[in-house]
Amino acid sequence: MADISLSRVAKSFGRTTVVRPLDLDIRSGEFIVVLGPSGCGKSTLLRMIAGLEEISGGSISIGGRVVDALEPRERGCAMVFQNYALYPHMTVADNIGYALKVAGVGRTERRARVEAVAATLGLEGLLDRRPAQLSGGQRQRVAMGRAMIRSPQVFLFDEPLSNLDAKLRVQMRIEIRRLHDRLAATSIFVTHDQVEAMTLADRIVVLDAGRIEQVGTPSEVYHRPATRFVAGFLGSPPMNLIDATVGSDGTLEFADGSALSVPGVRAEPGRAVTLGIRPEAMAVGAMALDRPVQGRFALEFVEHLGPTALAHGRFADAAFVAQVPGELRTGATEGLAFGCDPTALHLFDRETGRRIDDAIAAGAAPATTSVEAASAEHH
Amino acid sequence: MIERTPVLDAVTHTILALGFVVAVAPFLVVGIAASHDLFHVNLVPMPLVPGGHFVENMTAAWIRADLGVKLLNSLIFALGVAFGKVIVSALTAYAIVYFRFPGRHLLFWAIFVTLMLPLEVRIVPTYAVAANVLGPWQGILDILGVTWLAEHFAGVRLDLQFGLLNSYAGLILPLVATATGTFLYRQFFLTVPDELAEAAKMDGAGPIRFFFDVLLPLSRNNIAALATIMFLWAWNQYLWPLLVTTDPSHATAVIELKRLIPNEGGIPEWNIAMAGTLIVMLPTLLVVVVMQRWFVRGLVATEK
Ligand SMILES: Nc1ncnc2c1ncn2[C@@H]1O[C@H](COP(=O)(O)OP(=O)(O)O)[C@@H](O)[C@H]1O
Ligand SMILES: [Mg+2]
Repeated sequence: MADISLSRVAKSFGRTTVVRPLDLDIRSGEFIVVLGPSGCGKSTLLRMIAGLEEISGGSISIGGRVVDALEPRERGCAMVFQNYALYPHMTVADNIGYALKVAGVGRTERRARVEAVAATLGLEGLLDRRPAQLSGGQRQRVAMGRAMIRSPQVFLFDEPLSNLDAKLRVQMRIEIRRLHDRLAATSIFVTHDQVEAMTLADRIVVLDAGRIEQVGTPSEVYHRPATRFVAGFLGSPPMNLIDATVGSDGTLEFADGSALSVPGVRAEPGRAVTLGIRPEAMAVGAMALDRPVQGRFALEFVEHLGPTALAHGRFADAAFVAQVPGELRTGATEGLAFGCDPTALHLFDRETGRRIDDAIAAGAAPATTSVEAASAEHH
Repeated sequence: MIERTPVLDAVTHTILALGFVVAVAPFLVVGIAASHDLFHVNLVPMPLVPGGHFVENMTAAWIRADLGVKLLNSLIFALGVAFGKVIVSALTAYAIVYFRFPGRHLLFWAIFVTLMLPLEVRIVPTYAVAANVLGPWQGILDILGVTWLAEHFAGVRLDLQFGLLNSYAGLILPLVATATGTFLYRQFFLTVPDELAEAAKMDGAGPIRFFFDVLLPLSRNNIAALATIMFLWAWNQYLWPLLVTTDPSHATAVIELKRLIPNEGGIPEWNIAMAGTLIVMLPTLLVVVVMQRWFVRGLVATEK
C-alpha cells in the first residue's frame, strides 16, 4: 500500500508538450481511473509513474519516497500493458514467475507462488502453455498474474481491457475491481472508456490534452462536471451542450432568438454561457408539463434501444437528444415538449469552459412562471 | 491457394526437373570422376559410367592432402567465424536498436558503409593489421612523435609487435565483423514490440538479462540462419586463409585442395582431386541438410 503524489509533473517530447504540469494526490488503497480521449497523454502519465518515461518537470513520490531518479524495478509498481506484452517464448508459468526469477527466488518457492497466483486467476490448467496458445481473456489474466506475483504496492493498468470483446470486458472489469479490493494495493487504471471509469473508480481523473479537467468520484464527475469538456465526454449519449446568453428576466436566450425560462438562474445577465442538459435528465411529452423548466424541440427521429429510446432532434438550432420511454414512436411533427428540474441544468462559462457554480438556485421558483414563459415562447 | 491447372502444373514440373538436373549434373560428374583410375579419368570424353576406384581415390586424397588436420582447421575456422559473427552482430544491433547514445546514427551509417568494403577490397590493410595488430598504434605514436621522444631521451626504441599470422585468431577475427548480420538482427529487433522491453524492465530485468532471457531466445531462428550462411561462407573462403596461413599446419581444407590439383609435367590426377573435393564438400552439405528448416524460418518473415 502506498499513496502516490504528483507535483507539477510534466512531460514534453522535444517541443511538443504532452502532459502539462499537473498535481494529483492519490490515497493509499484507492482505485483511480484516468479517463480521457485517445492521445490526451494518459499512457504517458502512467509510464512516468512507472518509471518507463523520464519526467520533464516536477516530482513523483510513491509511499512518501521521491522516485524521480529510481529505476522502474525500484518503484514497487507493476504494470499491465494494453497488448499484454507477454514473453512469447515462455510458458505461462515462466511469464508469471519471471520477476521472481530475476529477483533470485528459488525454483520451488517460485513454483509455489506462481501456482497460488494462477489459482486466484483461474489459470491452473494453463501453466505449461505458451501465450500463442491462449485466448485473449486468458492472456489478459496472465498479464495480471505477472503484475500480481511480486505483491506490488501499486498496480498500473494501461487500457488493459480494450482488446477484449464486450462480454469479457465486463467480466474482467468486475474481476479487476475484486482483485483490487482483495490485494489492497493502490491502482491506477487508464482508459478512454467511460463505462469502465464509472464502474471501477473510487475517483476519476479526467484528462484532456495533457491537462487535468476534473478529479472526483464517479458521481461528482457525472452530476457536477467541472468543465464543458467533462460534461461532453461523460455520459452516453453525451450531454446536450447549447451556447446561450443569460437573459435579464431569468431566461436563457439562444442565438436563433428562442429562449428558455429557467427559474432561479443566478448568473449575471448578458453573460455568454453554454447550457448543458443530460438526455436522461429530461421528461418528455405529457410528463414534461409539471416540470419547472420546459421547452420544445423539433423531433427528427427516434432511436429505439429496447427499454428506452433516444429522441434526436434540434433545439435552438443545435442537435438535441432526449431519452424517452421505449414506446415513443416518430411522428410528432409539431415538436416534442421536454421538461426538467433547474438542478438538472449545467451552466459553463463560454470563454473558459468552466462550470459556473451556483448558477441556478436549488429551490426553484414556482412552476407557473415557467409554464407561462414556455407558452409565451411558442406564440 | 489451391488451383487446378494441369497444364501449368506440367510446365512447372518440367522447369523444376530441368533446374534440378542443371544443379546436380556437375556433382554427378565430380562423383563419377572420383571413381575412375588415372587412365579412364583422362580419356576424352570421360566415361560417364562410374568406375571402381572410388574408395581408393578417397583414401589417396585424404592422405595426400592431410585432410584430417585440414578439415579440423576448417571446422574451427568456419565455426569461429559463424559464431563470432552471430555474437558481434547481435550485440551491435542490440546497441543500435535499444540504446540511445550519442553517435548512434553515425555508427549505424558507418556499419552500413562497410557493406561496400568487402574483404577483397581491403585485403592489404587487413593483412597489415593481422601481421601486426599493434601496427596502427605504432603509427599513431610515430606521428605524435612519441617514438622519437622515447628514442632520444630515454634511449628506448618503441617497436610494438603482435602478429596474428598462422593462428586461429588471425584467421577468424578479421572476418568476424559483419554488416549483413547486423542488419538482419536490427530488422528483427525492430519487429519486437517495445512493450516487451518495458515489461522486462517492470519485472526488474536489466539490459543484459533482457538480452539473454528474451531477445536471444526470440531470435533463435535468426541465429540459425545467420550461423548457417556464415559457416558456409567461411568454409569456402580461399583468399584470406591463403594469405594468413603461410605455415601448412593452420591451412584450411579448401586451400589444401590446391595441392591435389595436378601439377605441370605429370599426368593430371583429376580422379584424386575430385575425390578430395567431395570430401571437402561433405561438411557443408551436412550443415545445409541439418539446418535448412531453421534457416528458412529465420529468413522468411517472423513467425507469429
Ligand atoms: N515517444 C514519443 N515521442 C513523441 N511523441 C510521443 C511519444 N509518446 C507519445 N507521444 C505523443 O504524446 C501524446 C500522448 O500520447 P499517449 O500518452 O500515448 O496518449 P493516450 O495514452 O492518452 O492515448 C500523443 O499525441 C503522442 O503522439
Ligand atoms: Mg495510451
